[in-house]
Amino acid sequence: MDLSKLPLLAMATKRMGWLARRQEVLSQNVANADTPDYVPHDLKAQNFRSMLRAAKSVEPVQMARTDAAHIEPLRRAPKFSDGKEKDPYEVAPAGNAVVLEEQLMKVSETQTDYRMATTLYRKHINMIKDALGRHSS
Amino acid sequence: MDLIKAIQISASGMKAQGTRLRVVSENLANVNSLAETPGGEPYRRKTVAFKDVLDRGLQANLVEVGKIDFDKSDFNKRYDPTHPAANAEGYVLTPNVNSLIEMMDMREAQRSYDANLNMIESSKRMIERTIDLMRD
Repeated sequence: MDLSKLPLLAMATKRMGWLARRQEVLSQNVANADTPDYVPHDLKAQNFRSMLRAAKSVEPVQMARTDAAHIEPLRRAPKFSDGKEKDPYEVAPAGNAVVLEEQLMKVSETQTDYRMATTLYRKHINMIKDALGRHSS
Repeated sequence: MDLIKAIQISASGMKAQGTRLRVVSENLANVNSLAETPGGEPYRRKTVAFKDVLDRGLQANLVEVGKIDFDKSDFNKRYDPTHPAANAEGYVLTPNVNSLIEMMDMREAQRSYDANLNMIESSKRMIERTIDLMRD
C-alpha cells in the first residue's frame, strides 16, 4: 500500500516538508542575526484550498522506464518558495533587519505545527491499524 | 534533508560567533599592550564582520567570518613621562580598545550563540518527532 495515496497522509507529509523547510530558513535568519545588510527571509504560507485541491486530484500519469536507454522521467519535488520579508520589525544601523524575538516566535510556531502534523499522521496510521486488527501485527 | 541543513546553518552561526568572541577576548586581553619605543604604536583594536555565503555542496546560505580588520580610529593618550614609549611631551599612546564596547560585543555574541543553540535544539526535536513516527 502506498501511504502517500491517502490524502490526509499526503497532506501531512507535505506540511512536514514545508515546516522543515521553514525551520531551515529560520535557522538561516538566526545565524545571520549579526550579518550587516541581511534581511530575514520567510516561506510563502501554504494555502489550504490549493493543498486540498492537490490532495484530491489524481497524480498525473508518469511515463514508465522500461529500458536502460530510456531517460528517467522528471519528477518534480515539491518546491516551497521563500522570499525576503517585506516589512521587518526594525532595521539596525548596519542594515540588518533580523529581530531574534520575532524569529524565535516563528520557530515555536513551526514547532507546534510540526507536532500537530506528526500527531495527525500517527493518529491516522493508528486508525488504519485499528481497522486491520491490531493483534495481527 | 532540510532539518539537517538547518542544524548545519545554525552550527555555522555558532562558529562565527565563537570567532567573534575570540577576537573580543583578544582585544580585552591587550587593553594594556603599549609600545616599547617612543613613536611606536600600541595594540590596535580588531573588528570582525560576518557575511552570508552560499555553500554549494550544502545548497544553503551559511554564515562566515569575513575579514578580521583593524579599527582605524585614533589611539587614546595618557600622560606618563616615565614610560619608555612616551613622546617628547610625555604622552603615551594607549590602545583604542574601550572595554565597555568590548563587553557589550561579548554579550551580543553570547546571546546570538544561545539563539543558534536553541535553533539546533528545536531542529533536533523536529527530527526526533519524525523518527517517533516509526515507533509504536
